[in-house]
Amino acid sequence: MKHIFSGIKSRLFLFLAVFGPATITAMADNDASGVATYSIAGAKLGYPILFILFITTILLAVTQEMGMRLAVVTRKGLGDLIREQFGIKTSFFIFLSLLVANMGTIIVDVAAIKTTSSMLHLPIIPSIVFILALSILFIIKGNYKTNQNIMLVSCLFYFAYIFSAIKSNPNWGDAASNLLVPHGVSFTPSYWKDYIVIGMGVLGTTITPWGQFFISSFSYDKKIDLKKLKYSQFETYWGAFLTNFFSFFMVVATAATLYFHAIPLVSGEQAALAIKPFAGDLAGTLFAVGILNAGFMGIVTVSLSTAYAFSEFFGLSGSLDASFQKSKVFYAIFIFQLVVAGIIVLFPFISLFKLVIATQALNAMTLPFIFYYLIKLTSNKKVMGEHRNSAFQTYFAIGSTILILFASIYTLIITLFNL
Amino acid sequence: MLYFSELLNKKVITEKQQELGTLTDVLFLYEEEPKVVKIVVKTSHPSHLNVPSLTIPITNLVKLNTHIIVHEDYESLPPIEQEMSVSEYLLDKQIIDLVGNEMLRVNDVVIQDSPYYYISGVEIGALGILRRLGVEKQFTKALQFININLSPQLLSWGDIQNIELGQGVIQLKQREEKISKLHAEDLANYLEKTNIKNAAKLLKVLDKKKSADIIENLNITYQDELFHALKPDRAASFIDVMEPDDAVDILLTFSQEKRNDILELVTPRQQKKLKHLLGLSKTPVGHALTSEFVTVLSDATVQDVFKTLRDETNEFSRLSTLYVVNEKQQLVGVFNLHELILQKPDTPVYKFMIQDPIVIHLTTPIEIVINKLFKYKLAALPVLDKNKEILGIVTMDDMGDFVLKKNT
Repeated sequence: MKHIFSGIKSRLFLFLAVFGPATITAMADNDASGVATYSIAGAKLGYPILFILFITTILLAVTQEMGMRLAVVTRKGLGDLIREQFGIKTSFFIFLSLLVANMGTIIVDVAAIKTTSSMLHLPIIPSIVFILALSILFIIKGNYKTNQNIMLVSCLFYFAYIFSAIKSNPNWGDAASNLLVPHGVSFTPSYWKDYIVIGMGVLGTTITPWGQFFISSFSYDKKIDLKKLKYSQFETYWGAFLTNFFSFFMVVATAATLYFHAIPLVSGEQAALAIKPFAGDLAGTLFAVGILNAGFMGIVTVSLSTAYAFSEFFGLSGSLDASFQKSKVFYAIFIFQLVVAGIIVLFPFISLFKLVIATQALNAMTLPFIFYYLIKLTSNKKVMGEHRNSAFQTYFAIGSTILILFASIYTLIITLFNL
Repeated sequence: MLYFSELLNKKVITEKQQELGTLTDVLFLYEEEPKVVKIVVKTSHPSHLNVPSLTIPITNLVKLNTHIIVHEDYESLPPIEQEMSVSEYLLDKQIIDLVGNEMLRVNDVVIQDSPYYYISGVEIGALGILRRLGVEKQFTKALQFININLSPQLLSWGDIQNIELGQGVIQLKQREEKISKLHAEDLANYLEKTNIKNAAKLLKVLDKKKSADIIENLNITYQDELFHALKPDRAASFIDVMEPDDAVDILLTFSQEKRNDILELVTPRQQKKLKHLLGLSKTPVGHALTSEFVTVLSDATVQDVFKTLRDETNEFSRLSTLYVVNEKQQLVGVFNLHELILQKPDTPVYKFMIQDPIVIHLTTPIEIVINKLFKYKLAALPVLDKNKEILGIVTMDDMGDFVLKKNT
């Protein structure tokens, strides 16, 4: 008996040792723009959109696992491998589209902080400057370990959504059964159109190009031992589950209140305000605090993923454990993105709405390319050895990529031509 | 000096202008001195030649300018096991910088074309990336507008280790053994970047002749430091195997006392030569020094050099050699007017300069200066101070005067 217990204990310890990268990446997938998307999805489509969330979880788990495995097996990041196997021109164009798409995501996150802080009656400019400065300090001063711990603690804020959901008195049975089969609403053609477009948004905000780079770089930075691969794999699946566990409550909170009462939602952040009459002031405030925190997570992880990718593609040393002086370029890229995002949001000379659309489109278009390289690399025997993809993993990933490609083209056409 | 990226996709033709294809790769031998052995050519008309690619030995190469020209009756030999491909094992791969002890990525590969083709090092800087993307010129020009000058960041072969190859694809020899087979100049470069203690340790494992070669290649400040770190008997054993001219040069940088200590321990034959040389004219070179010389920065272009010549050398009575300095004004290279004229206007100086100039010091006796001028067939020699900065030059003309005076 004692034996069994110590076995479990040592296994738990091993899991905790590899714990981090996947959970953080997955949680950061629920950045402020993510929260906004889920809120709109719940408010406009009700429980049936949870079905898409379920599929997204599986897709996220499979793709994140590939990125993690790639880094642990090869001791290199995704950027490193693309550069080595596909040359400098491919690297340059992938990096460029990643940079632009990430820039867009960060701007959207900062913008969400702006709207939310005004809803919470916080002074706008100081709040934005404070959060940006905090992010910069956090990355420059911290090392890998403290940063990871702060991020993990920050993940706890997502419990705010569970609370908001409970306060909104949902029909839990309907919500759960909709995970497997969409039902309970009238499926008109216009509903289906919204369903695909918003479903695509849900997919796009959860499975992102930066997420693919971040998981591999962060796993690499954590120096996970190959012998612990199994535990890391488990962590990736756990992370994918966790991210959409919280997304589930975001959708439920808005579906039970706003969809049920047919309250239209112009922007995702407004959900915090809109659910107040139905779920109470506290739920609304918690929802808003959750968005602020999600904004912070998004800003840090997305800009960090650009910096990681840059150092991997172009060979300049970059790691959270390196000193500021040594990784100047790494930090410069990180800070540059935050400053640009801050300026654009504070002095909006570009239409933010157009920017969000453009960002989502670019993310969706970059993703199939990144998957292409990811699948190619993880299926390559020379690179992965015995840890290469199984036939099922390869075909599943190829199938998903094609699905995402078509869905993103469809969404793009609908959005561009206002169909 | 050439960059691999400049060779890549160049047209390969035969002497009679028959087009074979484009260069896609270069094969080299992975050893202490990585000689380039073959070029890989993707054929442009596969049906013509019946093969998709050719592997032509570098010995069949006739000329290399806008096109790569190979012998009319070129051979195509299949690659053998020891031959490694630049694009597969070097370009875009990670290397370990043995000196800085960090991982870096190879952005370009530096190939020396004389006395034969070999890989001398890798480019790790931003310029390499820009060159690969084909925007090097545009970018450097744009950056010059805002006063930023990018210079190439090169690591020599001795300073790097390929990770993939180090991981067992090919077994590397012991580090010391590997080092002992490097070029003396490369090793000297390497030593200058480590501390004296390490250097002295390393010199211990090498044979005397090699050590002496390396010491001769060190800069004078470093030589000075190194010899101070060595015990007299060890110093003497190096002096023993050095060229007498160079040995005297080093000995003269020591105090009279230490010099005598070392001399006592040198073998009688060498001692006799050295004493003779030391006892020669005490006329310091300072008397013969002229300031009629031109220095240019290593990243200046040929065009810049012409401008400098027009602006600064109006009053010169004679000019044959130009000296290349780095930002700290230290001498790093040399070239003559003929070599200059052969270059294209936008070629930077570091691409064609000779990297290990023959130099003398203020303490060098005039007889040795004359010996060196004759031995290396030079028109002038630069006189360096302890920081490797040029104090002036001594010309053959001035030495001629000296010889005449002495004889009358």
